Amino acid sequence: MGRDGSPGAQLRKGVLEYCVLAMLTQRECYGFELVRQLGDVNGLVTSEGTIYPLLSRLKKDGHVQTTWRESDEGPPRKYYAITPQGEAELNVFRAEWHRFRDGVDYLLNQGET
Amino acid sequence: MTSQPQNPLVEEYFTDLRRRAGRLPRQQRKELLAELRAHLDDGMDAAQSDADTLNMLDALGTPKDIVDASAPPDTTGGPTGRLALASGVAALILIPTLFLALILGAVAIFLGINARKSLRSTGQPTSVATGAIAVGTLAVVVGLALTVLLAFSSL
Repeated sequence: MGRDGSPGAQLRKGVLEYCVLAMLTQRECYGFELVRQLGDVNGLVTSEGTIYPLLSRLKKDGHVQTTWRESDEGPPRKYYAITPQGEAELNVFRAEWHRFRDGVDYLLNQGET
Repeated sequence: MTSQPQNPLVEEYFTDLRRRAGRLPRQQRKELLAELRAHLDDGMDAAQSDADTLNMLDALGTPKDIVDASAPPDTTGGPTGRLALASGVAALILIPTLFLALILGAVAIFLGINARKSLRSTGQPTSVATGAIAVGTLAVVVGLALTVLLAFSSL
């Protein structure tokens, strides 16, 4: 896991699951669209494929649930939806993130002058 | 599933992924491969050229990274690593035993020779003493052979 020492990599690893939850808070998504949308957010994901194991873990932790739905474009699709537990986790993270982000911004801005 | 024409780039990627996913627990492997397969199929629906396909595979990341993300890194060094450690430990345990074998073998030979000398001089049967020399020699030979074997296998 060579590159994973970089500051960016460490940050991404920590917040990625909450970004996934935040995306699912809007509506349920199937794997491909979720992965692609996340991949489009600049600088967030280096390896789209690793989102799938992340989704598995979120499901195992009870933060996400899956449902199969028929699709007119081919085989049934597996849809991911956030659970109430997932919502709760996301809210906790959101509060911590704001505090954290404000603190880091403050220090970084100080350092720039 | 979908009747996708097999694209060699995609199939090569998926074959690599499936091979690496072999080290995952069965249920996890099944799910991961199904998800990635569906993703690749969906991606191929949208891809209009080889360049698109390559970009999709690049964006996915390497099979190695994906499988590594699915499982905690194998900190035991994998099956080969564990076997290596076990061999090393066994060797360490055997070393004093071998030394003992060599020493006791030598003792047996030495005592046996002495016993034979004094038994012969008093006309008594020497079969036990001779037996001791034989067993002692065997112990020393086997001990030396094993020592050499161990020395070579740890290289």
